[in-house]
Amino acid sequence: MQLEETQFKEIYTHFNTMVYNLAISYIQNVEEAEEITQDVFIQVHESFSKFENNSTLKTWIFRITINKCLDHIKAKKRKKRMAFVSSLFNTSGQIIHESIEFQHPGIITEQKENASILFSCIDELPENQKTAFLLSKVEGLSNPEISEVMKTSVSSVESYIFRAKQNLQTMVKKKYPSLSKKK
Amino acid sequence: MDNEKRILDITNSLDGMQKAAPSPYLYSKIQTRLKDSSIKNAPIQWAFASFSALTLLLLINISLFIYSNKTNQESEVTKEFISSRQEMNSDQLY
Repeated sequence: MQLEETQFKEIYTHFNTMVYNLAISYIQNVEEAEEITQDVFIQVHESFSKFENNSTLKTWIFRITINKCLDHIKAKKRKKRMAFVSSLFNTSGQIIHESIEFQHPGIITEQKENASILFSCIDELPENQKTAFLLSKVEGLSNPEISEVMKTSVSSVESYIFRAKQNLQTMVKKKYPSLSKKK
Repeated sequence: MDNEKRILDITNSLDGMQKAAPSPYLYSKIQTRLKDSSIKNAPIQWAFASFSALTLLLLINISLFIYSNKTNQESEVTKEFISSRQEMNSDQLY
């Protein structure tokens, strides 16, 4: 089934914020999140004929978004490695430096500092824990919905979220020992 | 105790988070990319069609070559058979 322009615009209007917000939390970069949002909707347009009704459109689009984010992260890591290797042989080669602090545009001002710390820790979570945690916390998806997106059981999702929370607490304590001195 | 509360505050800092909106020009950017990709896809379709036609032509040639070889071999066998029969006939005459 080919997607007509009016249908495509409807899908875009309905899901663009959802895709963009998940991408921004996953990638932690505003410009790259926009690029991913573009890629996701192009894929939706091109693969709509392959969309099977055994999952909802929302679930399908979430799955595409996560896959695009994971591909992007892999490509970025590869680029970083290449830049590092070339910097060893070439004195003019520059290592890509990432901005340490990410500020999510949707975070309220009084939470910005805390959220920035949390996002730096989320970035270090294992893939499945990160996906489950973000889908639950950022997108507010229920555990059965997350299990559908991740193609896994509800109990696995519960376990991923539980472990993600535990790991985040440990990471915050480890990464910021200065917190113990603060009152 | 304060420390624990601070850690809890950090882990719960995404609560009440608002949705960020993408650029208002994002849809037109996607449309432009879609148009570009459809233009780029056209020559690919032509290339695929010409490649299939060439493959088909090559297959026909190969099968014709194999067939003609077979018929040549068969005709040689027939010739040999006829000549041997002729020889036999001439032997019988004398």
